Amino acid sequence: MYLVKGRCQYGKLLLEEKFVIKYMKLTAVIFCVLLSYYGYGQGSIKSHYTNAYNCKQSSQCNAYGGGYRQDLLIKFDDNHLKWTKDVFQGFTVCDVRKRSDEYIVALKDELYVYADLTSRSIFYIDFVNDKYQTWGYGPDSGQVSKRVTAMIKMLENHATQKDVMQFLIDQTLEKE
Amino acid sequence: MNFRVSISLALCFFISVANYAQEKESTDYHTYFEYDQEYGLHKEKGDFTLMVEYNNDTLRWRADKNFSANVCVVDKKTKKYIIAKSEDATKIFYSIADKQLFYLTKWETSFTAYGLGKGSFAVRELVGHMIRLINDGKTEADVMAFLSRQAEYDF
Repeated sequence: MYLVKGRCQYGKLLLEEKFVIKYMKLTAVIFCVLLSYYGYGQGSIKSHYTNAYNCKQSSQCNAYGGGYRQDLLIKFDDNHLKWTKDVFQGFTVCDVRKRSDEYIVALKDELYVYADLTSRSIFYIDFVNDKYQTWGYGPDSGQVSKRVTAMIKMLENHATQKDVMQFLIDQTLEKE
Repeated sequence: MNFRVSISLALCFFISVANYAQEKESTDYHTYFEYDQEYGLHKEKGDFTLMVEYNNDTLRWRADKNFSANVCVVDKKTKKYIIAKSEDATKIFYSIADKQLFYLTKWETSFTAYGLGKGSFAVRELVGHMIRLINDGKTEADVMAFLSRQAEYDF
């Protein structure tokens, strides 16, 4: 009698255990579906800048803007980097090529865009009339202008776009 | 004993199959770049498909479906690129990561760099650098080393 009762209790326990395992598996599946739907490590950064810094190949560097504080918004997920220096103009959407906690390297129309997440800044390369241009936006004007100048110097000295991106990565990680 | 022998044989078979596994890739592209030391940059626009087949020994490629295949002997192969040599000793560089193919030819004293594959801006940029290096007195091997460094970047 005790033996039968014991077996029944054991069976009940087994059933309960199976139910818990099933429930845990279901929770894990739901979690994975939600994670893939909403994207792992989705994020956004609200930053600002006072001047846009621009350097033209074989020319000079300039600061544009009224010197007053303007919003710089950076949004990202695993596939896209979206940023804007003026919300009324909409976001520039770029394809992410490499991403870490500190930076994002992305491409927009075959030209590289770099987001420094530690200094909340954006840098990019443009190509106009067969000449390179470099642009930078961020709260630390000194750092942004310095990097934008270094970027154009590299391109003038025959670095590739990828070399410039590696330079920016090194700068970000060095500062860290 | 027999079981061990058969396991070893099967392992050898799988290793050899894995080593000689033929990779086949085809990439649509729209501009074919040719940068001549004397005549400068020339680009050919159209709808092309770069077709590449490779294993550890051979690289076969054609610039488009209608073009004839070029068979080259692999000199160096990494996960990101292949350097191979054609019958006439022309060095071919294929970036596996970027799906781009480059080569240099020499006619009398003048070099021409060719570039084709995914991303016309990047191909044009690299073809320009290839000729610049030659103009700076660098060798074909230096050009291959430059392309290798570019292909090593993971972005």
